[in-house]
Amino acid sequence: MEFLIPGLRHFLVLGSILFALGMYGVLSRRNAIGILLNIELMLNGVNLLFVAFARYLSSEQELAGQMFAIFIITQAAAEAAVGLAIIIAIYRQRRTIQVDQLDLMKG
Amino acid sequence: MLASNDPFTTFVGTLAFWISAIASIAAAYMMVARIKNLIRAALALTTVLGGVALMYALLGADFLAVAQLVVYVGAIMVLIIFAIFMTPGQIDVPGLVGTGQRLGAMAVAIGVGAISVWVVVITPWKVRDSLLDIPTAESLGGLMLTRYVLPFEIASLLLTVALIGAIVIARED
Repeated sequence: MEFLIPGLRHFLVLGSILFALGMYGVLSRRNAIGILLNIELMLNGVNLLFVAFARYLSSEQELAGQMFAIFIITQAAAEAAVGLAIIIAIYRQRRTIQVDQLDLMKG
Repeated sequence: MLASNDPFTTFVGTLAFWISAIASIAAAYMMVARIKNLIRAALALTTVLGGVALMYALLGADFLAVAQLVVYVGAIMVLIIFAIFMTPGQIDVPGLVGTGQRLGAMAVAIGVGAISVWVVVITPWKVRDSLLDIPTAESLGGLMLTRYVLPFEIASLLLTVALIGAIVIARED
């Protein structure tokens, strides 16, 4: 029953699975807001890896991983604000946010 | 060996990990593969974010666990749900791309996930047993104003620029 006790690898595998699921979602959604939701999922998978490394790996900068996670959360907030503003602006103009219908720049 | 104050020495801590890990993966799977409705997808993502916040708490990152709840669940999810409300008529259209691209996306995601899981399992990590000093908020605050002061200033500038930019882009004129 040794493998039931969570260690570094459990957290790393969990973060990797969340990242891969988010990647599938980004590639398979048609709605721009749905893509943004899945990007948040990918960022969370990465954040979990950073915090797990900060907890388990021996280094001189023990809190570096947590600092990285804080900065990623900050930029995720900025990205969500700007991304949703762009989506709403596109919706006003084109009445759609399906990414495969937004082909204005297609040659 | 686990340190004596590690949460995983207790049954409750281990149980909390497994429940929250399985709930997170199940909610994430439902969100990407099963749920068509965006509001429900947003609620499933909220479940994942809560599970990740619990993981942070189990990893001794108390400040990050609270920041995750406040910023992600409290702010970003509300923003996303507002955006879903402001783009009516976009929920009912087919949410996913065609079968060909779905299979390609599945191949890419499974490939990336499998490589990532394989690498983290075979790597001989140099693990330490001792926990971080809890609470971490004080040392994080100290680091933010000494070693990480430049990223901290850039992040505050980025937030200002992003908020002004969002207002300018989304303004009706």
